[in-house]
Formats: sequence, C-alpha cells, structure tokens
Amino acid sequence: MDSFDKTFLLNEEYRRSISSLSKFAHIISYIKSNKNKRILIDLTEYKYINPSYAVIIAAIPYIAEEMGNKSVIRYLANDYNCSNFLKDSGILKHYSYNNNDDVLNLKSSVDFLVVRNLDKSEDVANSIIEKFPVKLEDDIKNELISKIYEVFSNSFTHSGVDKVFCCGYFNQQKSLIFSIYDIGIGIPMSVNRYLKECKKDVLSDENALKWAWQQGNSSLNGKIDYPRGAGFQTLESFAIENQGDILVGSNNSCCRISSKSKSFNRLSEPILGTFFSMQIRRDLIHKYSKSNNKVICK
Amino acid sequence: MTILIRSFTPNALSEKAGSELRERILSSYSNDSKDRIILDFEGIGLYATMFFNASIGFLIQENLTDIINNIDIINITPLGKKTLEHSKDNANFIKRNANKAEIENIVSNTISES
Repeated sequence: MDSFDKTFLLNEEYRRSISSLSKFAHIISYIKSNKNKRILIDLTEYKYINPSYAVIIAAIPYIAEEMGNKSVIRYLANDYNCSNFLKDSGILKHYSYNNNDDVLNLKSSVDFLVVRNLDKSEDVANSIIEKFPVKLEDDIKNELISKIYEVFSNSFTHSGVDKVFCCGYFNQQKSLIFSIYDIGIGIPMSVNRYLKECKKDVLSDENALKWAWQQGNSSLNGKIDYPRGAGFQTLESFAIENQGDILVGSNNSCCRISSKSKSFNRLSEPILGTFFSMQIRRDLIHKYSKSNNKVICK
Repeated sequence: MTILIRSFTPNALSEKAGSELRERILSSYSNDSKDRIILDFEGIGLYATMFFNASIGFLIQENLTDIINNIDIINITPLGKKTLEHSKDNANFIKRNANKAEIENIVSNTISES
C-alpha cells in the first residue's frame, strides 16, 4: 500500500456553490504551501462532484509537480458514478496511458486540456465545440467559441502565467458547464497592484473582484492605448441570456452571478489564482432538432 | 473605401487583428476625402470584445469622431453587432468617466489656487 503525507478524502456532495469551491481551494492551498509531499486525492467514497470542479481535480497533478509535490488521484473502477464523472470530464482520457476511445465515454466530454498559448485558444474552443454530442447550428456554435475565447483571453492576459487549464461538460439535461483555471496572480491581487500604481486605496479581495466586474474597469486601462474592461460584462450577459450562471473564485474572494442575483463574498479558504466557471442552460439539442425537422419537412 | 476584414484575419477575435483594423481605418481616412469607410465583415463568424476594443474602442477613446461618423459596417452577424455594442458602450463609459475625472481635477485645482 502506498503511503501518503496527506490524503484528501472527497466523500461529500460538492455542489456548484461557494462552500464547495472553498473545499477545493483548501486542497490547492495545501499543495501550494508544502514541498516534497505525496498527496492522495481519494475518490473511493465518491458521492457527487459537480462537473465545474473537474478542472481543479485534473489540474492538481500539474500544480503539485510545479510546487515540488507528487499527487495521485485514486478511485474505484467499479464505481459507476465516479468513473462516469472522470470519463465525462475527460480526466481519464487525459491521464490514461491506454488512450483507447472504446473504453472511454466521450459522448459528453469536453476534455481536460492544458492550453499554453492564446493564439491556440480559438482552435481549442473549436475542438471543444466539435466534441459536443450534437451538431450545433452555426450561430450558437460561433457564440460559444467566441465566449470561450473571451474567457481564455482574460485568463492569459491577466494571470501572468503561460498555461491555463480548462474542462467542460455537456450533460443530458441540456446544460453546458465550461470551467477554466489558472494559478496566476489572481484578480484581486492584480486589481490592487493596479490601484496602488494609480495611487488609489487598495480594496478588500471581494471588493477588488467587484471592481474588476464593473463596466470600464480593467487593470490594463491606461497601460495600453485602447479601452478594456468589456469582457466580464459580455460573459455575464451571455450566461444570463442562456438561463445560466457564473461562479468565480480568485484569491480570497468569490462571486456568483445569475439572472436572480449577483453576490461577491469572501472565500473561507483562499484559492490560488483564478477559477472561472460558466454554466448555460440553453436548449441546444432542441434547437438542433428543430432545424433538422425543417429539413425533413422539405 | 472598403476594408474587407477577412482579407487580413479569419475572425474578429484578437486584439492583434483589431489593431490591424485600426491601422487600416486610420490610413484610409483623410480629412479632405468624402469617401466613406466601409467595414465589410462578410464571412466573419467569430467575434470578441478585444477585437473591437483595439479598433473601434480606440477611435472612441481618442475622440476621433470624424472618423467614427465616416464608418459604415456591413455584413456583420447579430453576434458581431452585439459584441461591437458591448465594446462601444464600454469605451464610451471610460471616456465619460475620464472626462469627469479631468473636470473634477481642474475644479479642485482652481479652488485650491483661489
């Protein structure tokens, strides 16, 4: 039996919520503040993990290695729910030596990917959309690619790191969850660095995140010769138009945005870098079916 | 004068392509010419705010009203139109606030001098 310095037993239900996000932030925090540790991410008592967090779980081995640690993700192969979670999020495919499509359920997977260059983001977004179980109409496909590119662009521009992790899930209830995670400087820290340069008062992390979300605000304004700060607004509009929501965690802060509410809070455990997750509930399959029906009627 | 966007970029996503469009607009415009500048988005399906920030947003921020009023946009998709509106709103918002801050600064300097 392998021995580990630290085991994280993920045996609760991890919903799309701030309290669940804090638990993943805790794992990353441990990895960041330790060295030469062997860490076990134990999914053998898996109950439920929202697909939003697949990107963090999948990124753990990369982050651990970067911080001088080793990590292992353990699960029971005969646990149908856990296996499906790992397959559907593309984690198994990413880490499998036997990369055999026959044994992997790729129907609803938006594979876990490590993206290292913004120039490739359009291709990545395109390949993500191509993996959808239905062929999408051009207008919705273009909108999704554009928004995914927008998320990547924000991440690469502001994080100060050369790679971002992404992962997604398209489920049978016709919703798409797309998440991206970077271990860069984090939004609040970047905002406060900018405010200091502008000789303005620094903000609490939750207020700094709120600042970044407001129209016209960007830590790049004044440093480049054209305006920025429209990205988050565009993503918010898109998520709300599609009956969706956005969940963000960065440094000590987090926010949850939906058509019903917009809240900025303090995370009980700081998260390294920035986690961004967008869920949309638009009826993509139905839209596709309707367009097919038109063809059949002809 | 028509600028065909797809002649220099396959999509309207990046800041780099947006900056290229800005350069083309600026070099197409001359004060004495009455020719309108037509931005033709034929064949462009992907749009992001960064592209418009670096092109149209720049013109708004720099108050280049003559040029902006001389531009016509054709063959843009609803997604492109919506993305452009987001970028324009943002640029106008920043310009208004920058002007406001400038006025406040002048007022406070005047008060302290008097």
